[in-house]
Amino acid sequence: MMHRRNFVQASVSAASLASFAGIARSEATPLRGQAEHVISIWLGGGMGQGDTFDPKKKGDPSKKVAGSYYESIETAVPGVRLCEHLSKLAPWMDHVTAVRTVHHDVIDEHAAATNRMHTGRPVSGTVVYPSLGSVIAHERGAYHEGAPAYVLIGYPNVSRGPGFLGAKDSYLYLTDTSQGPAGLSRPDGITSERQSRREAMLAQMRKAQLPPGNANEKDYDEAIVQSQKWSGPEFMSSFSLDKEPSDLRNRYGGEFGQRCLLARRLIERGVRFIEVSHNLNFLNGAGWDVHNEGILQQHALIQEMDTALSGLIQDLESKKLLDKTLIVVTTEFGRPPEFDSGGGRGHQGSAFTCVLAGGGLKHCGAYGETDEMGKKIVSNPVSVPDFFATIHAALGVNYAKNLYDGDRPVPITDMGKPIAALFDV
Amino acid sequence: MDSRESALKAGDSESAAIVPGHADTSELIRRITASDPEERMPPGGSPLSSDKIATLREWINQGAKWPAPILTPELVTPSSVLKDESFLRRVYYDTVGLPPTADEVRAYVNDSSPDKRIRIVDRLLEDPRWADHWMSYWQDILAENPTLINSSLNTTGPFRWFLYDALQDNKPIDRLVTELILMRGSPHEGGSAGFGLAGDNDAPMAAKAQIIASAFLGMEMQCARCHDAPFHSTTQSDLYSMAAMLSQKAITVPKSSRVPAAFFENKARESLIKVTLKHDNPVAPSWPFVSQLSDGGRSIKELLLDPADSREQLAAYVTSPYNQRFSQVLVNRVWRIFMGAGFVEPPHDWEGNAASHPELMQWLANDFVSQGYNLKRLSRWILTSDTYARAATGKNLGREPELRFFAAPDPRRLTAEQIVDTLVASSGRPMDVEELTFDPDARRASSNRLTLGVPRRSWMFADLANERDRPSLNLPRAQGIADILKAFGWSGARQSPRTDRETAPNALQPGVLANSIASLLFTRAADRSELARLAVEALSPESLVDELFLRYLGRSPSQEEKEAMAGLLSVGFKSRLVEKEKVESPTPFETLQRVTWSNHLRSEANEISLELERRARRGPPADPRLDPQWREVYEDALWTLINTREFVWLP
Repeated sequence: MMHRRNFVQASVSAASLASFAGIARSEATPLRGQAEHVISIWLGGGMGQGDTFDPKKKGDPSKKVAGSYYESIETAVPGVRLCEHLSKLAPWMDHVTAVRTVHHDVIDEHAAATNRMHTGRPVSGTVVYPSLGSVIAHERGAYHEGAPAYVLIGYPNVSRGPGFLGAKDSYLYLTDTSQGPAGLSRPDGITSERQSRREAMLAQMRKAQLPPGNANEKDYDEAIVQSQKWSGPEFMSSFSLDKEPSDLRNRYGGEFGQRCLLARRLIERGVRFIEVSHNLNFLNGAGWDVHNEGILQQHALIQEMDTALSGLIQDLESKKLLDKTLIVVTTEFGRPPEFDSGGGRGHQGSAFTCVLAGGGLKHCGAYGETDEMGKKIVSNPVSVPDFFATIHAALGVNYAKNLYDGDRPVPITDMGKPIAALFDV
Repeated sequence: MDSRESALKAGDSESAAIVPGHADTSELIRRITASDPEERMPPGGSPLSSDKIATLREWINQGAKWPAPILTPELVTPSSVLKDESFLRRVYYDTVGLPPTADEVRAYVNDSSPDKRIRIVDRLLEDPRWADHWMSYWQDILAENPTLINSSLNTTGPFRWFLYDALQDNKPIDRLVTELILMRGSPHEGGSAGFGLAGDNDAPMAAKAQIIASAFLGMEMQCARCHDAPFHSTTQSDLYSMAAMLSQKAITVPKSSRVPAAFFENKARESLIKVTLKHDNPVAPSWPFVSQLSDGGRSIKELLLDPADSREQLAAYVTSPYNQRFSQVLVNRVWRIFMGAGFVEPPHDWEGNAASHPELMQWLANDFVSQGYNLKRLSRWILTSDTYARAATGKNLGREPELRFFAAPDPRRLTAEQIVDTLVASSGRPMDVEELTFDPDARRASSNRLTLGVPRRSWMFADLANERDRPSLNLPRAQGIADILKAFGWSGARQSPRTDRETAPNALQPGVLANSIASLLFTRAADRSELARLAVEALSPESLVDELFLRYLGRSPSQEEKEAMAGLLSVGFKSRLVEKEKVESPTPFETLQRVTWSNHLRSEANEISLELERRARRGPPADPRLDPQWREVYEDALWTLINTREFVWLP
C-alpha cells in the first residue's frame, strides 16, 4: 500500500507540473557532447583578460595610459593572440577556446562574484543554488563507482557546495597535494601497524554492539564501509604523485601544476568533476586580485598557469584523455584596461574571458570579440548561464531540464543556451 | 489532496487523479509511469519501482478504497524504560549539550532516591551550559549568518550574542522574540539589529518576514517572495505587508524577485502559480493574518509603547497571548527537539497539517503562556515525562498524525556541535583554536572585518571562507574543527532558515572521526592533559578501561569489551611511566608575529601562515611521562571509542 503522505505528495506535484512543463521544450534537440569529466580551474581574485587571453594595445602604468601590461604573441590559430607569458599554451590553442565575451554585473565583492561564477545565476532570497560541480555530480555521478564524484583541490567554501541538492552531491576537499582529502587520508604518525591495531580493536567493539535499530543507524554503518573504501589504498594511491616520472612532474611546474597533475590522476581513478584552485598568493602576494603593486609579479602567476595548463593539455592528449575531459578556466570577473593609483587594476564585469579546452569540442582558439580596449563586447556575447549551458551540453547533460528543490522546479541553468559553434551539429 | 473525495475529483490538471476500478485512465498512474522525467512523478528523483506501481494499479482496480488507519500493537505499546546510565546521557545532551563526566555517571547510578530523575533535570536546567546547548537551534531557525569579511550571500550581523544573553537569562520567549523583531542595538557587535541585515539581498525585510513566519507562526512563505504559493493560502501581498511592517514604510517587490517570463510561455494550461504583485506597486505595512491567527476583536494597542511603530505592532501581533499559534508553535518545536517528532509536522509549515495530540499541545501551550513563556519550565514538563524516559525506538516522524502515538521517542543522532563539544570535553583540554577574525588588530570597522572571538563551544564557529582563497588568511586549527562540524550537518553559512539539518549519513562522517587531524589531536594524551593524567594515575588496565567507557560512552564496559581493551593496555602497563629524571618537558613553540589583514599580502606573512599550518598538523606535544609505545596503544583505544556508532547516537 502506498503511504498516504507519498500519495499526497505525488498528486500535488502532478498538479504543479502542468504549469511548468512548457519551459524546457523551447529547443527541439538539445546539443550533446561526449565529454565524461571536467577539470575546472579556478583563478581566485579575478584574472585580467587584457593581460592574458584577450591582449590589446600595450599601456603604460607609470603614465596611467590604459592598455595591456605585456606584449602579445601569435598562437597555433591564425589571428588569435595571447599575452607573451602564455607562450607554452600558444602552440596548443587549436585545442582551446578563450571565450572572450563572458559578462555579469557583480563586481563589488569577491564572495558574490565567486558565487555567481559557481552557481551560474544571481542569488535569490529563497533558494540556495548548487554549484556546477554538484550539478554535474548529481546528473552524472562518479565515473567509477569506487571514486567520489566531486573533488575540490582548494579551500572549502559554500559557493562550491551542493545547495538544495544536499550533502550527497557535495565535494571532498584537500588543500595540499601531499596530504590527500581532509577526512580520508590517514594522518602523519599513524603507521600501518597502528592502523591495523585500531581496526582490530574497532572490529571487536562492533561485534559487541547492538545491530542497528533504525534505518539511519544502518546507513551510518554503511557510510563507515564507504569511508574505509575511499581511505583505502586503491583510491589513496591517486595521491602518490611521486609515482609519476619526474620529467612529467617537472613539465607541470610548481604546486599549482602538481594540483593539475593530481586532477588527471583522479580522473583516471574515476572522479567526475574536479575543481583546482589556483589560489597561491605566495607568488605575488595578492593572487589574481592585482590591485596596486600586486600587479608587479602578475607575470609569475601567468607563467605558472601557462606551464600547468599546457602541461595538462599535453599530458591528457598523450594519454587519449583530452577528448573526454573538458578543461574549464573561470574566475570572478575580469579587470579594466585602466590602471589604479598604485599601478594595478580594479574589477571589470562588462567583458572578461573564461577558457574551455579539450572535452571533444570544436575549438577555435577564441570566441567572441571585445572592443579596442577590451571594455565592451562587440560580437557574440556569452552570458554566465550560456557558459554553464555549454559545459552541461559538453557533458551530455540536458541544459534545459529542471532540478527540484523539494517540489519547486528549478531550471538547471538560468535559461542558458550553449555556444552552438563549439558543437558538431 | 488528502481525502478520497478530492482524489476522485478533477483538479487543476483537469483529469481525476484516480478513477476507481480503472488504473489505466487514472492520471496518477499516467504520471508515475511517464517516461519523460519532466512529466514523471514524483518529481526530481528516480521513478517508483515497478512493484510499487503494480501495487497502486491493483489498488485502483480494486476500487481505490481509502485505507482506514490500521492499529498494530507495536504502534501503541510503550518501549522499555531507559536504564539510569542511558537516561542520564540523554538528558545531559538535551540540556547542556555534553555527556556527563565519569564521576557524574557513578554518582547518579549509586543514588537510590526515588526522585533522582526529577532532581537531575532540575539541576541541569539551572546549569549555565544550557544556553550553549540551545544556541544552535536558534541560529538555524533564524538564519544567523555572520561573516568575517564583507557582507554577501544573506550574511547577517552576529546577533548570536543577543541570543546567548537572552538564553542565559532565561528571558521569556515572547520578550526575546519582541526584541528580535524590534532589531535594536549594534548590528555588527551583537545586538538584535544584526538580525535585520541580509547581505546581497534585494528585499532583506521580506527575507526576515519569511524567517519570522516559519520560526514562530508555522507558516512557510518561501514561495511568496516571487509568486503566490501554489499549495499554500499565503500570498505575495501577505509577505510584503509583513515586510513593510518591518521596514516601517511601504515597500515594493524588487525586480530581481521574479519568476522568469519563460515560465509562463508555451504553457498548456493555466499556471498554478500567479504573480499578483507588480514591481511598481507599493505595499503598505499591515498585519495580514487577522482572520487566520489572531483573536480578531481584541486590540493590541494596550501592548504598544509607540502605537504608530509598525515594527512594534508586528512584534505584538506575533507574540501576544491572543495569538495562540505562537505558543503552540513553540511548544511543538520544543516537544519535537526532545522526542524526535512533533505533534504537528513539519514544525515550520502547519497549513493543512493536523496535530497528533491537540489537547496535550494546547495544555502545554496554555501553561507556557500563563507561566510567562518560560522555556525551562516547558522543557521540564517534557523531560520529566514518562515518555521521555523510554527507549528511542519510535517511528513517529514518518507517520500521519492519527498514527503518531509517541509510545516511544524517535531515535536521534548527536548534532554536529554535540559531537565536537564531546570530543573537546573528553580530551580534557580547552578547544584551542585561533581567534575567528582576519583582522586581529582591529584596524578595520566591524561592519566589514568582524571578530567573533576564540570559540570555546561549537556554536561560536562561523564560516571561515576568506573569499579570496588566500592561504595566508587560513585559520588551520579552526578549519580542522569546522570540517568535523560540516560533515555532521552544521553550516556556518546559513543562507536560509532551517528547522532540520540534513541527517542522512555520508562517508565523510565516519571519515573525519577516523582520519582527520583534529580527531588525532582529540585522542592524544597531550602534555599535562586529563587524558594523560588518567593514564598516569591508573591503578590497573581494567580500571582505566572502566574510566574510559564512562568518559566516552557514559556506561560501563561489558565483560567482553573490558577484557579485549584491557588485554591490549596491559602489555607494558607496569613500565608505562618514564623514569622521573628522564622526563623532558616539551619546548614550547616560538612566538610568531601576528598575521593580520594589513600585512597578509607580504611574503613573511605567508611564511608564518605555512608554519602555523605545520604546527596545527603536529598538534600539542604528547605527555613526556608516558612511554611512547604504550601511549600509542592507549591513544588507539581512545580512537576506537570515538569511532563506534554508539558514540554519535543518543541512547
